[in-house]
Amino acid sequence: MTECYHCGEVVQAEQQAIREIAGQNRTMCCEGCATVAAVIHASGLSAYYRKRTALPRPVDETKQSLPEAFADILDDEMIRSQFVRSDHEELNEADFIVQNMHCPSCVWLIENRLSAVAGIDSASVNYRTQKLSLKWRRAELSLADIARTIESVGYQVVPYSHSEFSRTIQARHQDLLKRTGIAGIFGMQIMVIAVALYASAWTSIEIAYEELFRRLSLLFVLPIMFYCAAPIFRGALQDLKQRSATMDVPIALGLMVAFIASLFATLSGTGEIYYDSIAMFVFFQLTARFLEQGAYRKMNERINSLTAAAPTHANRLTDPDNPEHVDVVPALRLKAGERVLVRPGEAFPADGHIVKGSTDINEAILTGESNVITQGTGGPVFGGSINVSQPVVVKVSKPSSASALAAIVELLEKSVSQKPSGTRLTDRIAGKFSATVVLIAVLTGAFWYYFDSPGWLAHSIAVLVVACPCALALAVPTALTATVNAAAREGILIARPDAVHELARADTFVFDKTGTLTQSDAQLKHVETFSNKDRPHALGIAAALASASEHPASKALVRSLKRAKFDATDILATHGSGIAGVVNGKKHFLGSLEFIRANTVHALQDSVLEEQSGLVAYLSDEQRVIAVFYFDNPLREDAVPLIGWLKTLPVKLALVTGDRKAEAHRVAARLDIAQTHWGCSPEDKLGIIKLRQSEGEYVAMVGDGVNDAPVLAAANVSVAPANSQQIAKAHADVLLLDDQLKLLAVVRSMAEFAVNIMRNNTIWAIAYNLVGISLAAAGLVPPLAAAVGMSVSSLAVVGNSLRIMSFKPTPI
Amino acid sequence: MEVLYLLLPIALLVSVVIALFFLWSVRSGQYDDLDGEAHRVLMDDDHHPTPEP
Repeated sequence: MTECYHCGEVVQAEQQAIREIAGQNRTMCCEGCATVAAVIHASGLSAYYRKRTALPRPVDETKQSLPEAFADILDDEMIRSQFVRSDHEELNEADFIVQNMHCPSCVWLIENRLSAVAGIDSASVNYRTQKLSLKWRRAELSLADIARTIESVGYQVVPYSHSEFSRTIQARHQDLLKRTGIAGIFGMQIMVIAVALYASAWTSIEIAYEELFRRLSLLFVLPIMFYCAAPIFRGALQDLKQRSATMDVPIALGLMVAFIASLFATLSGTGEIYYDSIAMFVFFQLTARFLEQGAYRKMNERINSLTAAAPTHANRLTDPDNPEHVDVVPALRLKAGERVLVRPGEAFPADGHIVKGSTDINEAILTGESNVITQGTGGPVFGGSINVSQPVVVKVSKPSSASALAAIVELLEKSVSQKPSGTRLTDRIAGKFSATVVLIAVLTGAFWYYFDSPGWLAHSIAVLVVACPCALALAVPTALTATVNAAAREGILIARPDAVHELARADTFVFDKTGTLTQSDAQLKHVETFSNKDRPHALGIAAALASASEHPASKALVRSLKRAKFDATDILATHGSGIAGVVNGKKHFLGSLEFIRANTVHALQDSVLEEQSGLVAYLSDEQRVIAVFYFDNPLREDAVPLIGWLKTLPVKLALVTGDRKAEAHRVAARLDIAQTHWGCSPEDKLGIIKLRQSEGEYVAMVGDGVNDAPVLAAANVSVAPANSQQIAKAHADVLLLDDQLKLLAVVRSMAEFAVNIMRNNTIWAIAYNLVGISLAAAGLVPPLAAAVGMSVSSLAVVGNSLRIMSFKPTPI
Repeated sequence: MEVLYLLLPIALLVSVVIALFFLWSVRSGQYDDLDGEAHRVLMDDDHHPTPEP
């Protein structure tokens, strides 16, 4: 058995390709791999084969993920303007997502292949985000050339446009990193000096040196106060303006009081200084924010690269009556009245009517239903749906910006803006916390003043400093960061921070059916044979015929057979009904009951040939029926245990689907889901979710399709399985990376655990603050104790949060 | 201990220099991809045509 030189797949004799590489004949599994290997060798990059640590997929297989014509439209001005930065004649900059990268050697291969191309200034690939940053001179090199160069070594690129959002996130990340680093650098100096000052409590220190230490600390603390802590003060100011409160308010209050008191103490030479507390506090705070933000930045990047899509193109007829001559144009440029050619396997670029030909259409993207529908001349087609069987000419009725798909996207945007927002537990108590602390400080000051204590102001200040809620402010962010990281390890992306709270709180789980609870494709369930031919033989013939068609049933037939047994010749596909062809020298027919009746002599003799429910295909020769194939849209393997597990929780379950009633009830019955909504449009689904929310339910939506996207956005928390469509992935709060539905159970139990930890953290932090405040009010807290207490309480919270990292979900 | 009057300002100066270096390194994007470089260092050595094993 030979393995492919390029991809390591087992080579099948009928498809092998042989090339001479470095003086040796190498066997490849397909023409695609052979071409790629030859290019890699010719570019002097054969070292790739020694360096790589993982094997790529066969090139012929990966090629299908992008339409061939897409490179042609990259240079269109309208498309280019969407993703090329500094778009002028000399130097252009743009980012791409590289698909099919599988190991770090790919980075090396792509960078070196590109840097050898004249006109490319620099090419660098980020392995983690799969992003290629490119600088090139447009006068010398077109984008189509670049895309094809990368394709020639076995990868595909799609343009990546930096959304406003990801640019903001990137800028904020850098900003926060700077502030955190500076706080660390100067904080260290302050701590060194502070230790010397702590020591002066036991041994004496010359007053001159003490003055020097204090003034120097002041110098060091200035950048921390006015630069590093600026986001905290800004946040607090904003809260005050909006008359709401987050943790920023009590933090800013504590920092300000500590700083002003220390400033006076330094200048007057009497009183306590709290510079060490300020430095440590700001550093802890910023580090926590930085880590939290970094975790979400990573998730955001992952999702961006998962959802990057090639711009859609259209084959526009240059002569309206002659489908032989087409231009490849961006779908965006289509105008009403123009005619486009849509080949099998392509998506319709816009809404319109068929003017020539007839075909099967998969409208799953709009309806979520897996079945194909048949449209002839004059029939309406919708942008985004997939042409399954025959090439057709379509007259565009609406530009793609006004298509039915665009309407769903619009619905989606509306639901995003209306999403109910959850607030953090600690933010809910922040307002009351601040008010209480100020009140206690005032009372403390008044109490000691009344009893004529000279330290009345110092005690009052100590209360405010100790009350600065360091541990409390860390309680939630550290736990969320740990959860996001732990979830990522399990193959779950948490895209939105507060999804953790909401997932733990959700009391209603609404499931989409097709592709979510069931598998996305049809599967061969059962074969019945009538003549002497045995089952594998019949299946072999059927698969040979089916390989000519894109119908879901045909695909299932082909998939059910590991390797093609027979070849079919003289194939004639009759649209919407069946396929005829010669297999083993004999004419065979595969298709619907009507098709078989029309072609086979003895079709009607058997009572079994009654109309069957569900998807059924018949195989016959010219004399009699050979076999009947029954197809099924089976449940995912882990759907039953998952639903079973959810039923042990106090949650309600519901099923919403665009499918027919019978199918919906079949699935609901198998899974024992009581509430089923069938035949739902995206608007209907949205209505169902909103109704449930208005009844006070906290809804988690699990769905995979474009038609689910608006509901995913409107639900309190949404989960998209791994095989989801890009738009659904982009708008889900939680994304399951492995194709396993049971990860939902993992993330739910993890979220519950995390919320528990946050509650523990919060209670502990409040308790610490209460004890600290009481002692400070009694005048028992010197600056050293304040600094140590703050560190210890913060570390305790961080340690508790880290427990989430070792959370082991119970298997279901 | 008068030397402190010299040492402490030097400490101040050094930390300011370190801080400036740090700001520069962040601004020039050195912290943007912390994983990629770890792989790159293993890949960089031999960019010249090599005969296949």
